[in-house]
Amino acid sequence: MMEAVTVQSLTYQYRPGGPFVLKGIDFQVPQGEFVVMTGLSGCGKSTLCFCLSGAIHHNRDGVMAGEITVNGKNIREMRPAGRALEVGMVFQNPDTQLFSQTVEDEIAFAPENLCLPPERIRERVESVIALLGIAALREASPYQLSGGEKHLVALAAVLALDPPVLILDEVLSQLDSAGKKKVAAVLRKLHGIGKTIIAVEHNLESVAFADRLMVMENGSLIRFDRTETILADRDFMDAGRLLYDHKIFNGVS
Amino acid sequence: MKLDPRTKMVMAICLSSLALLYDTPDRLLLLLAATVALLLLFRFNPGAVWGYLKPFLSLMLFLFVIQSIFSPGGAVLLAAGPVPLVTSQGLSTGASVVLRIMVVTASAMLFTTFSSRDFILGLVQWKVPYELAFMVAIAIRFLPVFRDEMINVVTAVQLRGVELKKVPWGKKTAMYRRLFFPIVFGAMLKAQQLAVAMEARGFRAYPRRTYLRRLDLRRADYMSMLLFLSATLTLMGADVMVK
Repeated sequence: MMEAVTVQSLTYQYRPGGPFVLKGIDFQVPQGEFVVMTGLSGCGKSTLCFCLSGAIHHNRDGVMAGEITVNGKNIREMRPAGRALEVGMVFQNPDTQLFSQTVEDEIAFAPENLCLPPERIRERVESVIALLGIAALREASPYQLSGGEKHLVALAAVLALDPPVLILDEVLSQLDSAGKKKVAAVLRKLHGIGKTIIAVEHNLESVAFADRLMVMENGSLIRFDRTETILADRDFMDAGRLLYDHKIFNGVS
Repeated sequence: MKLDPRTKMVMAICLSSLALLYDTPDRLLLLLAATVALLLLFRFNPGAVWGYLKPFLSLMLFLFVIQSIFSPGGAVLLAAGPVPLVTSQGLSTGASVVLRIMVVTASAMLFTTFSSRDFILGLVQWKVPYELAFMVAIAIRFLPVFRDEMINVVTAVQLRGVELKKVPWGKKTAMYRRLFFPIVFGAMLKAQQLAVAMEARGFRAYPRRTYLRRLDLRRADYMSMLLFLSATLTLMGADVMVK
């Protein structure tokens, strides 16, 4: 199976000569895999997400070394339109990525930017609304939605581009248990239709169906293995390198 | 009445232009009445008109007093010895300034009778660059966000035991100066995140873009625009002739 995401010797500093936020990260994610990235706060998860989406190289200052390829294409060499079609990212805070008057407009924004004809924009909007089950929110203002609904709309807005790779930065963290279940069900659905998903998450209970877990610590990738293997590793779990209570997973693992 | 946003923009521009041109209270009062009547025609709540004007009341009062004092001419109504304080001309100028602000503010309310989406679409269909129209709409969208942020910061200060009402003006100004930086920094951070989110969704990926919807000017729009433009030009011409 072809690799969807390949990261080689990735390092990142916010400024030249500054401390390394990411320290020589290497991994590969095959197409269609669901990976959950976890680790204590400040370990570099969000920074890695920004690197994977190409936002670090193209929109932010700092020194990024190493290579990232998405579906065989180097992220540094991709034009904005190309990147948007290959990798979609949903940020931790949905308020900074929703700016349209209605949910429908929010979803239509990306296909409009890609110069699709109106009838194809309509098709994309309808299919994403149906996939996420948000028809009732169609005419609602994105700013007046609940946290969970905002995350769903942000996800819908990204899915309208139909990117094969999705990077999700803590989309479940601010949700109540009902919201978590709803978004997790959507993620399961997306995984089912073959999307490659890399999701940052602390609360592993909602995403225990992930294929693999990626554990980060102080800017390094310390473990990348099958979810059940890591959860069954009592020594690793007892070392307190993750935020959650592993006892929850006794049944799962 | 359902009209295209562009028609309402033309109406607002016509009313504001006349307000800037007119300098007598009687004509400005008539213009204000026409503007309010138009707002009512668009089912604008009169209470909301008052709500929009309310924040400007202190400014209007201040301008009225200043203009009344510093615009000499006409009959002296109030004097401090030989120095005339309030004149009939001063009162007329003061009232004109206040009425002008009211007309411009009220006509700007026409913009609130349509969505920012239609505002952008309307401008783009008038060949205004999309980026420019989008920038204006985003600025309007984020104004309440920054207001909320300001309120949050001020609340945070009050929760630390500072009673703002009891703080003297000098200290209050210094405090607001210090609060200004976290608010501006927060705004810049938000703008940066917004830019990243927009680019991730293909913003400006191509020199042009397509649209899900399209606005169409109808007969009523053309008629209304023609009526407003011709009336405005006639009134302007008449004003110039009289002067």
